[in-house]
Formats: sequence, structure tokens, C-alpha cells
Amino acid sequence: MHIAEGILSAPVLMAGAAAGAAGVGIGLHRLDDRSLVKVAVLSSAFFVASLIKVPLGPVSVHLILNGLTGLLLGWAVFPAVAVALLLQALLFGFGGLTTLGVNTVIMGLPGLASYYLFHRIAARSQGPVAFMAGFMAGAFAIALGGLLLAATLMSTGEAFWNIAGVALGAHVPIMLVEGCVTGSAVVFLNKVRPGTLCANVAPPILEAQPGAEPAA
Amino acid sequence: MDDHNLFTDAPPEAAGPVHRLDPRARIVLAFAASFSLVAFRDLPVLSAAVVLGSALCAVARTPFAVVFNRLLGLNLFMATLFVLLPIGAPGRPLLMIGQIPYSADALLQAGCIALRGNAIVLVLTALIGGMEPVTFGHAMQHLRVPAKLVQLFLFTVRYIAVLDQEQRQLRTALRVRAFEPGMNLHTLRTYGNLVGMLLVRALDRSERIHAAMRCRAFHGVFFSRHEFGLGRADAAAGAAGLVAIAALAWMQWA
Repeated sequence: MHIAEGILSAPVLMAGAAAGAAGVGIGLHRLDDRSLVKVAVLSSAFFVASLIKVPLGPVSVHLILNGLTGLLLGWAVFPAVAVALLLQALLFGFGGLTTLGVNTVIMGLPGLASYYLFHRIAARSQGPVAFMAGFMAGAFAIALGGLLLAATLMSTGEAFWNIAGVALGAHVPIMLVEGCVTGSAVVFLNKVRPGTLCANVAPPILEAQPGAEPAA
Repeated sequence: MDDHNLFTDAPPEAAGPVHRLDPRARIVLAFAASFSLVAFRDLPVLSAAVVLGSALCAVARTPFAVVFNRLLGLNLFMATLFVLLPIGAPGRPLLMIGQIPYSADALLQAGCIALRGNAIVLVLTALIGGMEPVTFGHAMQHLRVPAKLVQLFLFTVRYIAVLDQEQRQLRTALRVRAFEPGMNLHTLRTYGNLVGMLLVRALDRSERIHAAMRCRAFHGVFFSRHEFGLGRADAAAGAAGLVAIAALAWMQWA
């Protein structure tokens, strides 16, 4: 889920870069030494997980998992996504430098939204409820990502409206895939390592800080 | 760790003239070049930019397979753009598909986008495509990128290969149990569990890493064996880049 180089106009790219930089800045600001290492290793895990291919009809899609990343990382989803995108550009040539900001927002913002909407219930439930919370977080993050992507394309010109439509439609099956994978991952985490989701690494300002830090 | 490299499609970089430049200069040039290319919007200018990009790849001795791979991914997408963008778009119709116009203007726009995208990817591939991520991280550090971001980047780079190993292990375990991915709920749930396990292992590992870093009194700065130094070659490369951009700008606006 990213926009290729060469499409977007300079103002859209600049706005994306500014918004992405703000997100990354806030995310980084909330990390201390310990959580920084945690976020880094989790970003590696998400990078690796995003290489998993799921068969879908005649093609296969790769996992994105921005919803699950958001649930685990909170605001730190922005730096995690930015680093992953930079590495993809560097290692595989997917995406590039000009679209780094826009794509960080397209993937990171839905993750953060999923965090605010579904983190509480996902962290405190078991079984089917946890699955549903995870499913919603995963599916919602993809849906919102698709909408942001479509909106970005449409802002470039009227000619892009049908491309935006096709891109949005392509996100529907991915929503289901991501929802199921995220739901099972949440159930798994709550069963195998309860509290993983409670101790999120970059707590939002409004939440009480004590208790967010796990005992040493 | 197999350092070069589980992930990249690029083999170790050929010792070409681009390789010998200061990594900081390469990164700054890559940023400057790709953002300048965004501004150009005429077919001849963008064609010239693609030619310059290809020339840069040739100078950098980027292996053909790498360039081809990267352009292939981009152009599969660009192909859909050529089909979809002009359908029903405003502007002079080139032909009519039933009642729906296939717009000539939008086709031209698609052409410009494709050329611009290709030019940017060519320049990026030549300038930073073969750069080691670790080198990139250290260069960022020297370019005054915030220390936390550099740390995050370098730690992530370091542990991608390790976690990929974990992931392979888990998948081998699945294969041993005759797991066959298909389009069904079982596959999705299994992958969900796999991701969950990967995250649990990552969290455990991060605790060990943090403890180890504390033992070694890590205070947030990585040391690099690389000695960065800007030389005459970097100045020449910068000047060449400037001339190329200026020539394109002259084509566009003069």
C-alpha cells in the first residue's frame, strides 16, 4: 500500500512530508532508551512479517499489518513505518524518497487510529471478543489507509478518480485478510503473553504514565 | 550473520565512481535530484531526465538486473495507469469506447507520470540503490538526523535478518506439520499465530538487547569505522548534478 514515485504534485508531497515528519517527531519524542530498542525490534518483526504472502484467488497479497503495528506501538507507529518504508526504498526500490512522507501518513495514521479505537478492548479481552477487536483494528486500518490513498490520488487531479476507485476496491479483500490475521494475532498474544498489548511502548499523553512501563 | 544480505536484490556494490563518493553526498544528491524531478512536467524534459538517469546508472555500474527489476515493479503499475487514467477523464477524447471517452490529455499525463517515475527510480537506484543500510544509517547520523531516528533505523536493520531467521524457523515448523497455505480461514489464523509468535520472540529479544546495551553503557551514539570525508570527487558530483538539473530546468522554462 504505497504511492509510487512520479505521480503526486509537489504541494501534496510537501504536505505529506510535513505531516509524516510531525508524526515521526511525536512518536520519537515519547520513546526512552528501553522502548526505543523495543520499537526497533518490533519494526524488524513487522518488516519481516510484511514479506509473508497470502494466497488470494489467482494472486497473492503481502501482509501490511499497520493495524497490529498501531495496537502495539501507539504513536511510535509513525517512526516504525517511516523506517520500514525507507528500508524498502533502499533495499528493493519500492517507493522512494519523495513519497516517504505521504506513504508514512497513509500507513501510519490508520495504525494510530486503530490504536485509539480498539486498543483498550483488544488489550483486555480474550477469545472471540479479542478476535473481533483485532479484526476491526486490522480491517479498519486497511480501510482508512485505502481511503487516504484514494484521497491523495484524487487531490492530484480529476483524471485520477477512476484509479482511486480501483485502488479503493482492491483494498476490500485485503481488509478481510488483514482483519483475520490481526484478530488471530491479538488472540494469540493475549493467550501466550498476556499484557503485551497493555504495556504499549509510546503511551498517549492523556493516559496515565505510570503502569505503562513494565517492571524491570 | 550473512551480511550481504538476506533482503536486498542488489549484489555488493561495484566499486564504481558513485561508490567512491561520500555516502552523505550520495544521500543529499539523491534527495535533491528526486525532489527536483517532481517539478518537471513536459514530455521532452522528462524524456531527457530518463536518459540522464540511465546514463547515471551506467556511470555507477549498477548491474542491469537490479535496474531492470526495480523498473519492472514500477512499470507494472504505470501500465495500469495508461489503461485506467484516460478512461472517462476530461479533455480531448482520443477515441470513444461506447459512450466513454478515452482522453488524449490524460494519456499524455500518464506518459509524463511514467517518465517522471522512471527517471526518479533510475536516479535513486544509481545513487543509493547499492548502499549498505548500515552505511546509510551512519551517514544519516552525520547529516544531523535526530539521534533517536538513526538508532531506530540501525537497530531495525540489524534485527531484520535475525527475525527473518526466526520466521523461517517458524515456517519450517509449519511445513513439517504439513501446512499448505491456501485461501481459507485456517491459513489466515495460522499466519496470525505466526505473526504473534514472531512478536513474542521479538519482545523477548528486545529485553535482552536492552540489558546488553546497558551493560555496555550505551548512550545513544553508534561508532562507525567509516571515515566520512568530502573530497574533490564529491564537489564534482554535486556540480554535475546541479548542471543536469539546471539544463532540465532550462528546457522546461526557457
